[in-house]
Amino acid sequence: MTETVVFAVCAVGAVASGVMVFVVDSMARATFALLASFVLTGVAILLLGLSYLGVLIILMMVMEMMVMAVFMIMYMMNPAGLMPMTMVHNKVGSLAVSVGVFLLLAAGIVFVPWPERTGGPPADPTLALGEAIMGEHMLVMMLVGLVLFATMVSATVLTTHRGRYDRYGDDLRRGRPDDPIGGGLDR
Amino acid sequence: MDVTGWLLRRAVPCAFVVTAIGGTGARLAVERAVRERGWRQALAPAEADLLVVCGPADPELDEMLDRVWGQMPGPRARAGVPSPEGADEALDRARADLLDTAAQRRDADGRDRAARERAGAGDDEHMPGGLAMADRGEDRDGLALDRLHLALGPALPDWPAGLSLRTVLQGDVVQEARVHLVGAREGSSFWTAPRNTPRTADPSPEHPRTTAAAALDAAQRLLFVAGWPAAALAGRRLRDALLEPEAGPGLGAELRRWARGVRRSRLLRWATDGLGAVGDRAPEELRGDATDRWSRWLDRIEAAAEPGRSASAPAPAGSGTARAALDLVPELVVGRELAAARLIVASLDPDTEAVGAHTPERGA
Amino acid sequence: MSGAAPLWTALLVPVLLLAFGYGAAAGTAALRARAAGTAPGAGLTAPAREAARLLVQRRRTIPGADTLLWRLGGALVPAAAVLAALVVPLGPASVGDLSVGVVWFNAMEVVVWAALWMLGWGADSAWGLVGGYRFLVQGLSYELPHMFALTTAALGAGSLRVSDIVAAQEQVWFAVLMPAAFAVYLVSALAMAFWGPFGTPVGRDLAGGAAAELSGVDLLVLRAGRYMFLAVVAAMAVPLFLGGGAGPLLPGWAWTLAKTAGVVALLVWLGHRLPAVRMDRFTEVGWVVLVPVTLLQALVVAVFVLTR
Repeated sequence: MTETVVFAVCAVGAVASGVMVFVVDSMARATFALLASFVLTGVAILLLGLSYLGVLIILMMVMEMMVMAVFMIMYMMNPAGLMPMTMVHNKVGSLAVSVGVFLLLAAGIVFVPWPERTGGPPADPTLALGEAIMGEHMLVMMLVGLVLFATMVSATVLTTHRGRYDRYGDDLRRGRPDDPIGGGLDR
Repeated sequence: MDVTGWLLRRAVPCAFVVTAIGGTGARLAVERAVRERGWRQALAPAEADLLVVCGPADPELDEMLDRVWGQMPGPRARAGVPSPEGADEALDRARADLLDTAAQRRDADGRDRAARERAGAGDDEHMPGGLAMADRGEDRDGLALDRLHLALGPALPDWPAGLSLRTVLQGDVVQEARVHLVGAREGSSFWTAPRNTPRTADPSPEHPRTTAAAALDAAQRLLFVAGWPAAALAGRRLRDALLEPEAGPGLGAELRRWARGVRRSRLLRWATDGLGAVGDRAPEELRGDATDRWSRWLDRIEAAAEPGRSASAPAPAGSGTARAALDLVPELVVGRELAAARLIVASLDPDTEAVGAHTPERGA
Repeated sequence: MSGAAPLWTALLVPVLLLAFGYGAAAGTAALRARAAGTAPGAGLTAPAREAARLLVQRRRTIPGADTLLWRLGGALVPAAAVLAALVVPLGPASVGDLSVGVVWFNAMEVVVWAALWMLGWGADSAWGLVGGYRFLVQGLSYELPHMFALTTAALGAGSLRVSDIVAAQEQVWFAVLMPAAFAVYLVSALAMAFWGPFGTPVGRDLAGGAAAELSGVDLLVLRAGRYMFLAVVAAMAVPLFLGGGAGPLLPGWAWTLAKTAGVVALLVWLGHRLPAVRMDRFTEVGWVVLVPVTLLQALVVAVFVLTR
């Protein structure tokens, strides 16, 4: 009973705050409406008994939304003015598309014949998750991790317009790098 | 039961202290009184309940003070301290005003009514709160970012008296800076003027104890800006002790211990190293980076602590040094983020009372 | 030795956090009073008297502010502290001994990022904005080393459950087994409570930063929340690194309280002795020094666990 009530609250809350993302008139509120939607989804996953995944969703989404605040708001918007702005372009079209997609997916959930459960849940889902990822798929996972990391590093290297020759001089002989704002280690 | 009055009587006041040019003596007296009463000093008007103005009145400053006054939430009281002698009395009076609940309620009701009238009269639909939007400009990486206009001072804690640094910020990086002095007047610096107040009977401004007190005053300000309130408060206490007519026994040892503690702080060095480097053409007092400058203050303080070394103590800053420091501020803070900019200003410590009615050059 | 305490103990959590938070605030005030040359005893009542002042002070309304986010930001700080404390065991039992207690603690502690940013943004003030973003930079600098420190403790016990981590320290405390992780945890504890040397997001150079426009009860909630947070990160150090409630003679809950008080006192003393850390300098240290250090520590502990 309690579970049903919590699930209902989370489900309705997640959808409602998801809608709020497009209704509110400020980038900051949209960010936190999206965050609320994700957190409520995380709680719903906790109800499934997947505590690790549920808490991880809450943890990662809070951090991710704050990083998004840096990029979406600090770099693009007017920070001090809090100017109202609309969150959607092409209002009618976007509304039609999103309602259509929502109905399609919801209909899928209701009408698809879900398979019967065979076997019980594992005693420790966190351990089972770890073994599933790091067991036979370990090589793939390690490779994916490395590729992601390499992508991040190379993207950063490609974007920055200052290289080591700017920092240490043409013959790389400068003892202290010439940076607009130095770091804490003098290197 | 009058809960408000009961709580108010138990509350420790929190004072927002603004110093006008010519008010250094009053500021020292106020800081001393606030410290000895165990009151707090506010970082911003929003948290304060006392507005304490040190020094002579000035029309431009008064206009700014009215804005600060409007930002204080209330219960609130205002104290003017034109000269050091009146400090204790003015604070007592302000404290009594603060405890007058009937008057405070009238003030609050009046403000609420005025706010309602303002809200009813003019509503600017386009701008939230009727405030202008920030415009954009290129930053050092070529990104088009918003430009915020922020005036640092004169109503800012741990900041030179009357200095207003008009900055253009992108994020927290200073892109442009211009120096403006609020209430600049002819007159001499508190630290070089002959003493005639009863508290500071020492007549000679060249005396090592006066120069050490000036250095301590600069150092405590820098330490507050550097986020080390414990050392800064101790510095204030020692500064006040140095300005006493008769030094208590053991003051020298305590000064030495304090200076040694500050000098040894690696974290403080790490925070100030390489900031605001000034070349050899500047007056000797200002050369080097922020660390060099505060190290020289510590030398002066240690010299006063050891009578034998007083002969080698460097002379206090003159008006030429103050002028040079003021002219250096804009070029040194541009390109720096706010924390570094504040440390740079605190380490240059321009004595705005020594420059007279000097108009600084337009900044970078 | 583990287990979930009865539900009413959840009410005890905020009370204990407030008590430890008050202790930290009073200790700081007493040390400051001594530095200022006044009676240190006055420091013991200083937080209560400051609270009285803030209770009387009026709240502010700011033109153009995003009041919803602004008020929410302040309220989130104490809420996150209480939620994080639910997994901290007092003696043998905690309110909720989750199987992923360490991750839960981590998730609640990250909520403060959002809270401070909302505070800074909502006030429509340049000081607040700089303070809010400064805390994000701080978060990005301390969070990875902090996570690796937590991971190392979980690795040593082979479990994310806090009571398992306590049980794994029967022979030797993790503070001894993994000193680097413990040191990094203490640094990040100060940083995540934005307190002491890591207090620059609400620092004096920004005229109060993210808290610059707060007054009255809003400011009281933020300050109380910050000290409660300091208390909860100190309390979490006990089960993670200091053997939880283990100790001779006294019962487990008493040892937990005593060790927590010890960690709080250490943090307060550090805050008294150290100037602020400038974030533009610390970021490089966080990524170039602390991340490799904690990774190496995790490697050493992993090898130790495998060969044991």
